Amino acid sequence: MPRERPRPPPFESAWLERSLNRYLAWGLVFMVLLLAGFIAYRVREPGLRRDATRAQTTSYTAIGTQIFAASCAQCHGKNAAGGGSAPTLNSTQFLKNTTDDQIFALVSGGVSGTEMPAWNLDYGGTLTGEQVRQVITYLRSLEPHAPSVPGWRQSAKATP
Amino acid sequence: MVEIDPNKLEPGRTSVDHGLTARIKRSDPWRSAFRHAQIDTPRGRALQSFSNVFLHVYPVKIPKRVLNLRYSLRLGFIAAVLFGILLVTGIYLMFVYTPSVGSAYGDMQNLKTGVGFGQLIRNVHRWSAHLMVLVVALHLVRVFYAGAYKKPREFNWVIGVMLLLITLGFSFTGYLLPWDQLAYWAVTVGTNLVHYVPLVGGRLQDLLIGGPQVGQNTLLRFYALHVAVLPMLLALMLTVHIWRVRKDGFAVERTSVGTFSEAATERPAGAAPAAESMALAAPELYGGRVRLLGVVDRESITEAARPVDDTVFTWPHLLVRHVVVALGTAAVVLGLAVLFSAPLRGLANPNLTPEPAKAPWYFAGLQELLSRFDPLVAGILLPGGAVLVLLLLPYIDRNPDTRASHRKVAIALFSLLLAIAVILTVIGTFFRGPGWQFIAPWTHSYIEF
Ligand code: HEC
Ligand code: HEM
Repeated sequence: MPRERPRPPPFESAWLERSLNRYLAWGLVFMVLLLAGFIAYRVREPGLRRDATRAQTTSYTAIGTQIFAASCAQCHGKNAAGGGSAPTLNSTQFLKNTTDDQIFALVSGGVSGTEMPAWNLDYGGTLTGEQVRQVITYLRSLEPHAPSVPGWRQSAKATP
Repeated sequence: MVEIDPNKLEPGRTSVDHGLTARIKRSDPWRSAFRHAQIDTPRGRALQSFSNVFLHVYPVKIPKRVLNLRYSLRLGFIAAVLFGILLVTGIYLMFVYTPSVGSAYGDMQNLKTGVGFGQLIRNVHRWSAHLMVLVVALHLVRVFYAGAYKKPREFNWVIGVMLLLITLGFSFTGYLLPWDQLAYWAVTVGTNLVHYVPLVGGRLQDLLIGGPQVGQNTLLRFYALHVAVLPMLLALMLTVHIWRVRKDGFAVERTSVGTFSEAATERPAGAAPAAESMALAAPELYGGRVRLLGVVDRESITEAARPVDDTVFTWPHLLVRHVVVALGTAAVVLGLAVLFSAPLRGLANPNLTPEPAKAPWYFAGLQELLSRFDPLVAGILLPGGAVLVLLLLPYIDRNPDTRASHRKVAIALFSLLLAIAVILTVIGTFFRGPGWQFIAPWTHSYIEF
């Protein structure tokens, strides 16, 4: 805005017009900023999501490891390697053939008539749904290096 | 030649515009929605306002001084805009959030990793919420210093204090919903305070959190308050508030602003409402201003009651300003949201108290007080007393003068209390670390917004 022009007295029609034009100019600036903001976010979104997913996997795996050691290892074996009274979860046969949702349902509700109890708070257990998901993330982290254990249901250990 | 009903022609027009838009605007369906043509005459603008529910929130004409940014700083309006942003983003969040201990936190994670614009919307919602608390508080401060709570606006101030309390309630209930450590412990600290209310404290706390500790019941209760009860309350109160801003004759006249004389705008103290209709009573009470609220085509009748023409048309003068201020508010919020993400700490864990367990920043002053005094005094009596004094302020301070030089005592007292509140909040927010030990904020920051 050129500053040299004489200022019209407040609320006179010349002042009103100038003031209105100044507002309209700002309105345009704000609209451009809003558009730029949305575009900036949209451009960064895939990267942000990737980072967030990675960070989530790391932290969930760490917490899931602890939960597994504290609540599940006594039956499913240290590091899910079996050898106890319950199936060997660290096995390609189990991990490849079971979806996250299946594991979630199994762990949440337990298996009736066996030692496997219901874990989800919703079914009288002690873990929240999110904690169950953290254990699942931990089990999934084993998958790339999971050994082949054909007798996993009988709690066989991997043959080295 | 198409026959055209002369009634559908804009007044003052003799020729018929055959362009497509002109035809659409003359068509019956269009006219059934927008009854009056856009005619750029005083009467035309007035008719448009009267027949449009949105424009009807505004009067047709407003006193010029309302345009002055320096006076209102548009803080009340900005607060309303932020509320609008919160409604829209809040509904988006409702589509992807379940208020259950089992999945709330996972839903928050999902916003980050899977929902389109999810994290952005969450950021916008959170930043608008913080800003709304700040802006509403500043609006209160502005209203105080302007003396705008004095006759005839006493009751609107009371409504305003309730709006502030509702705003705080919104922020506090919303704080719990992500169900992370930050949420869990802030709310645990906050709701433990309720326990100190004399006599009914225990029951009240039980009612609020629905169990021995913050849990599923608390989450569901806070969610219901946050998305249903408080929005309805706020919308209701806001309707009354804005209605009263109009009825009480807009911003207080300041001698430094505009050209209108003070005597003409202030309702004489003690003037009783006349028994006749409002429209007739108004000129004596408000110096003719109530006329602006409706009756424009009676120009000639009330002309005499009006000393100077101090009015301008709402459209475009106020409306353009408001739209631009709203855009500016949105731009600021979006900027913050793109640059700074809302925090999400680990999953809520009742067995692991973070150090320090901090209340949200607007309660940090209260937490600071609590570290110094008995909980009954610091948690209940002092804040309760402050709210009570605020509520009753217009009835305590009965001096009708709005000029700063004539209300030195009120200004000095308010400024002192404000300074104490600000200092306590700053100390509680920035200068406290683990164990509520004094720390220098530049060594380590324990604040998360
Ligand atoms: C008290 C011992 C015990 C504990 C503790 C235990 N489980 Fe099990 N779990 C079992 C038994 C036994 C089975 C096999 C049930 C059956 O025969 O179908 C089983 C089955 C499972 C299965 C299904 C495997 C399959 O092949 O059907 C999963 C997954 C599983 N448990 C996960 C967990 C997790 C995760 C935990 C810790 C939160 C856990 N379990 C804790 C005993 C236990
Ligand atoms: C949700 C929070 C609130 C909203 C959305 C809101 C909105 C508004 C709006 C739009 C105005 C018109 C003038 C302006 O922009 O300043 C206004 C005026 C006013 N507000 Fe608020 N307000 C809120 C809270 C408060 C609070 C906390 C107080 C004080 C306790 C208050 C007291 C007043 C008074 C007295 C006026 C009239 C001022 C005048 O006419 O000069 N309001 N408010």
